[in-house]
Amino acid sequence: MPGMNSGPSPASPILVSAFRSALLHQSLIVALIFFLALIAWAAIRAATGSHPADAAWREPRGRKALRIGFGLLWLFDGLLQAQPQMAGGMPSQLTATADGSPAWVADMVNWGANLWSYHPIAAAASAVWIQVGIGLWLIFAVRGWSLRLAALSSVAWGLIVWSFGEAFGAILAPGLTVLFGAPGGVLLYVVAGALLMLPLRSWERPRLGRLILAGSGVFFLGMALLQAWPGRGFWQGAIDGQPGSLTAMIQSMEGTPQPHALEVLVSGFGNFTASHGFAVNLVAVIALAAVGTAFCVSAARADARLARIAVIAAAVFCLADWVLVEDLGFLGGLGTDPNSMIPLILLFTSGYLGLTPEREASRAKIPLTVVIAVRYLRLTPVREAGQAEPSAPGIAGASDTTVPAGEPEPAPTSPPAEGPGLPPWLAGPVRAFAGAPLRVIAGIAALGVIIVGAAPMAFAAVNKTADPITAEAIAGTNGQLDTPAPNFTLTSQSGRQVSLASLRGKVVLLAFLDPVCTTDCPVIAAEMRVADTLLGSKARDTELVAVVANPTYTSLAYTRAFDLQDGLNTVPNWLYLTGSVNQLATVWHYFGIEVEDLPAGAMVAHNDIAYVINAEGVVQQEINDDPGPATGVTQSSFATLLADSVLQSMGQNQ
Amino acid sequence: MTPTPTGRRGQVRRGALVTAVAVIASSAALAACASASSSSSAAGDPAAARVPAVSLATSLSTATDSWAIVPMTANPTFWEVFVRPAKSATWQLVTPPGVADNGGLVAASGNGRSLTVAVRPSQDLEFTPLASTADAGASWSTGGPLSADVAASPGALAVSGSELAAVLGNGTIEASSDAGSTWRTLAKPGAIAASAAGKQCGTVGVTSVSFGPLPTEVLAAGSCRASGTGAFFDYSPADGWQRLSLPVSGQLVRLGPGTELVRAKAGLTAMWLFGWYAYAPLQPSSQPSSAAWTASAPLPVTSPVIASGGLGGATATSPGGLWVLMPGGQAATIGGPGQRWLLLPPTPAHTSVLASGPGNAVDALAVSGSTLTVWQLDRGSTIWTKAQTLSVPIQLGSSS
Repeated sequence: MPGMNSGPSPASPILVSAFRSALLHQSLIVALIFFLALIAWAAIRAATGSHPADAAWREPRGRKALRIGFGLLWLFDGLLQAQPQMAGGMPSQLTATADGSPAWVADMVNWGANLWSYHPIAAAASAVWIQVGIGLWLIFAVRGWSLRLAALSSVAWGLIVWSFGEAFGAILAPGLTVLFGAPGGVLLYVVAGALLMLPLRSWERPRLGRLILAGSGVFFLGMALLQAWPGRGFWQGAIDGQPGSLTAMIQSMEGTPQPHALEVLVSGFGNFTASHGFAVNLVAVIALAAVGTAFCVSAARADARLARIAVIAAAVFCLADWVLVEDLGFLGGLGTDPNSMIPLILLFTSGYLGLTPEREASRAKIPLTVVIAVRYLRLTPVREAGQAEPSAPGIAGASDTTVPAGEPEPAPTSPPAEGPGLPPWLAGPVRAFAGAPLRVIAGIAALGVIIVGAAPMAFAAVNKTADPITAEAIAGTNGQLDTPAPNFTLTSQSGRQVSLASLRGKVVLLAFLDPVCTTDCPVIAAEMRVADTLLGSKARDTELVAVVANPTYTSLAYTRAFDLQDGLNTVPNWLYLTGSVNQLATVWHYFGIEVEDLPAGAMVAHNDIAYVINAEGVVQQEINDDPGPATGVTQSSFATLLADSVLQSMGQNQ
Repeated sequence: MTPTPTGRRGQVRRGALVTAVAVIASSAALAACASASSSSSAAGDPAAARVPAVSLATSLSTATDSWAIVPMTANPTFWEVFVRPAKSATWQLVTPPGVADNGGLVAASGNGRSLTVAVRPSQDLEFTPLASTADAGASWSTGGPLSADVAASPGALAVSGSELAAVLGNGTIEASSDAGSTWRTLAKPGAIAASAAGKQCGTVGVTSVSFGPLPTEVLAAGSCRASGTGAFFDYSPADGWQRLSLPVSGQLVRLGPGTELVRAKAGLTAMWLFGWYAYAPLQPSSQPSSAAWTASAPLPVTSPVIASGGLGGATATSPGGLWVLMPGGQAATIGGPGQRWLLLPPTPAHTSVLASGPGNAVDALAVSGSTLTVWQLDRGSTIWTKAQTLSVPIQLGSSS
């Protein structure tokens, strides 16, 4: 039945395949970026003879835990974004986050979801590489401007995701609770990024650790108060036979595809909460209040022992919530992050470590494979006799050297060898590049990864037309044909006799439209009109032709009324052809169009197929133009698909 | 333990205390807002007593056939046309094909056996297709279309021979002299209200049209926004729009061919245009002045009318009767000028319309889902008897 298509499924093989293909291509680019950066660095070092030792220094434990922890989290989140259904499934996930939020929040989120829908492959791939890039950058960038920029990117992207992707953590919607992720997991990434942007000296004194602990304490106390607040449904496991707020949240996670053991666990806890809601909430309130108080007191007293106990207790509570309530957060095929408990644990743990800011020896955690590649591919410079062996870059646990407090002095460098003469403006950067430690080079490459993600999406975002992939996911790929089009003669909306043969010399986009259709035909007509606009100057070489697909309403009055209704009366290359029922039936039969009157007040049933006929009169493509849900996105996508199909017939692609 | 908060430690304690209070206050505010938003989102529309609107469900009779326009199913509703041809005791489904009718049907009878149906547009359709039949629905021909949606009123379309008149949803009155092939505008929205005839009335909401004694005369009826009473106008090419004064004033319930039904203070009053009998030529100078109308005794009911229609085919000597359906199964009929209202026994459940049955019977067409049940009340009887059950092959999902 026409118009019955509900839209592309997130699991559409076309979307999944296109997404996978885009990721594969971009991963090659990412690998190339790293490879070229490494080769360039090693080559310049060899040419200039510059191979400074990466001086050992101790990074404050709190900052290191935060940096590595959130780096790994971003990396994990980036890999989650690579799940097959992300391209098609994210828009509905995004709009669901705004449920219950004020209209302006919903509008913001819908704008983001719409942007994603218009360019699903670019958006999904960009989310992968931006987050992978941020993660790698945080891991590689140990200190200085590199770390600050990495942290800044964490803050910036985190804010974008928090607002457009999490509806500000749903803090403006009813049912706010830390147990289910308030105030939004990614906001904690933003906080971590902000903390990492602080100068190193901030981490060398207990004050920052105490502030983090105090902030965590206040947060837990506030959440305890919210959890205890009456009238929010958390104290009742069930209300009048309906699940209470917490029970409903837990039960909503039961349906997520997950390992059976976890499903049993979550389901069991859900049932327990339904019958013992008061007790469960009481435990949660007490735990939150106790942990919050302990954090505040330990911060006030700078009591590391109390802080340790509070951290352990809070971590146990958070992990329990992460498993039993949040259900790990990332399962189901469309999970984008492990929710809020893991980032929360990292934050208050870093606060505890910050209480005792003993610096750990920190070098760039360069993967061992890279080290082996550098050594055994002979990319290191040839040492002259007597010259000391440069220290190995970034092997964990390498000999540490205690350095005085404060920023470490730049590592001493060997005097650069005389190389080919370089202009002064280039010599400086080249020396700096050659003298930089490997971790900085890796950080620059990680920035390149972010650009691999951001650039395509930025270009796509300014394109007002949707990618045709959505239409292809709904309609399938075009059928390729190579048969001469049968000739026929019908009457145009102006009363003129028009034969298909008379249109030779132009590419014909042929569709079958019911003039009194209430659903898909006006949509298809609108898509054809937009496609004509997208063709630009090529529209002169195109004829948009529709044939009446209704055995009852065939008069010119109805084709004209349809044209007027859908703004086609002003399109110069538009023809809406009709004729007697016998004439029309012959054309329908030629092109495999089934038209059937349905009884009892139903509209005419007909299949939605369009054809592209080239300038020589050969039918080249068959397009399923059932418009699906006929949203703004799908209409734009179909218009692009139709225009692309015409251009393909002309021998060009858009 | 330091007894009083002094010095730097004291400042830290005070700062932490202030921060904790601020956060607790913020949390309280957030919780209050969250509770308020959840409760305000649960607030429903204010309860209000609603008067049921006059439905598009109706029936009418031609010289020989009885027709019924009935809504079936819900969400979306499919409107069906049933006919009981002359000399037949059973009803048949004859809904015009080729177009989805979820927007409703407006029907008008013309000469002989012909019936014209305007299909109100729905969803992405913006104009009104027309279909006509002259063989009791065995076949349909298309006319029109109207350029916009016809008004949602059972009296929004009128036919007299090859003359058609229609009132659109925006109040425009259009007429056609070639069975709907082409249309001309008789009155744009607000034109009647702006005329000398309409100025006292204020804004006129026209909902129904009919033809006067002469085929070039168009009657229009609606409500005066100023007073809420019915307003009736007559259009002729020579004189333009003239206001009609009727023997009984009240709220318009229905305007039909030569008939009007108003709710006056005393009750429902039917009026017939004197000398306007279907298909009978009159003096060319005839004008429908107030003296030309004959009014019935009022039906003293206060219940709103939820559906009404024509009874008994108009003939050369008889204008035909009317029926009204009210809430709670109340129904009444009146046979014609000079006759009295007859209250019927409570109608069967789910009765949608009444219609002329075989002989002098009255049929009640009841709808449940996609099943039509016909109940019959013979003349003089007090019991409805089931006469027919018809299953309608509604194509659910075919219009979305």
